Amino acid sequence: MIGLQSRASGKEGYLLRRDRARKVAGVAAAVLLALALAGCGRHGATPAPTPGAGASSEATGGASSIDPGGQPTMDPVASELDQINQLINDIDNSVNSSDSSSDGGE
Amino acid sequence: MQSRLRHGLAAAVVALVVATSAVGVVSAASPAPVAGGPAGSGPCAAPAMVARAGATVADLRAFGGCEIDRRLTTLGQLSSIVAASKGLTPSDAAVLAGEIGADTSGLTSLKATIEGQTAIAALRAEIVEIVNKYRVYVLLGPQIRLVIAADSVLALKPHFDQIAASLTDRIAMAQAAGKDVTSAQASLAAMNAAVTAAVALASPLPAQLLALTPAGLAGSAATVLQNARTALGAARDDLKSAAQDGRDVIADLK
Repeated sequence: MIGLQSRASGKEGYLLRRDRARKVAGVAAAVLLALALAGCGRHGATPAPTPGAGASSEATGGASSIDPGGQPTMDPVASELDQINQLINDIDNSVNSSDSSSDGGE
Repeated sequence: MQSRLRHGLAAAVVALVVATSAVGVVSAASPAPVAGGPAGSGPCAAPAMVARAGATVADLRAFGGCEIDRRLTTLGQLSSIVAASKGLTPSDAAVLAGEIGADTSGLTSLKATIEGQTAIAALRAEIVEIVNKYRVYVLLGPQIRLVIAADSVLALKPHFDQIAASLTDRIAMAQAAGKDVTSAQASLAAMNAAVTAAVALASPLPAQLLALTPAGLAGSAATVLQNARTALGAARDDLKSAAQDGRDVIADLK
């Protein structure tokens, strides 16, 4: 009787441990899947740099000024020159990458 | 119990694989440019070595296939560059896209020929054709980049004209208000002269570059490419000076 009881409780314990192991494994898999999906989202959400962005104040040496309302305003001509600067950089890249001799030919 | 744990571990491994492959997809979305260089180098160095050592039909096919795949990848990248270019004129973009398309279909067809080829001598001739008939790295790539640069130089002219008009108005207003505008006028003149010089350098280049062919590389084509590169470097410097002159006008009028 005692033997039967201990076998029964042993089996119950086993079933309990099995359920617990299933749950742990399921949670671990869900967490890893969530991490994988979050990784995708983070990479996909990285904003691409826009042309001219970040070059303005550096290139113009202070093309912006403060309007009477306290808001910074950009000189339109200076802003246009900043955009041109970005296009000149693109030209620079095209010219520099056109030299195949650095690869040793074909 | 052990089998349950194994199932749990398997689930975790599957999730890890998904996580790893997700990173792989992100990396593949922005492929690194395929390096040019002589045939038998870079990703094709290993099959080239095998082909040189054994020179069986299978070895030569593998080498030829590798060299063609490398070029097809580069052609895909060049196609993206042409499509994304802001400076290219629509007509030049169409010509370049046509050249890329013709090379892509020619190399794809040559790959099929090589895969079905059984004679070693014919295979060798077809592998030479990959380089000599298409010249993806020494002609098409540089040609595309230089036409983009030349068109981009010319595309900036209307922008500078607009800036010159605005600055002329500002100088006139400052002068009317009694300000000494001598320096501003000199900077504006320098800007206009630099733009004129850049445009003169770039104007003849698109037509010269688009006329180049792989067959012409043995003659003057290499010189045309080199001269265009030099001229566009000078044009780029002129445009940088012009932009600085424009900023100087703004500063002079403050």
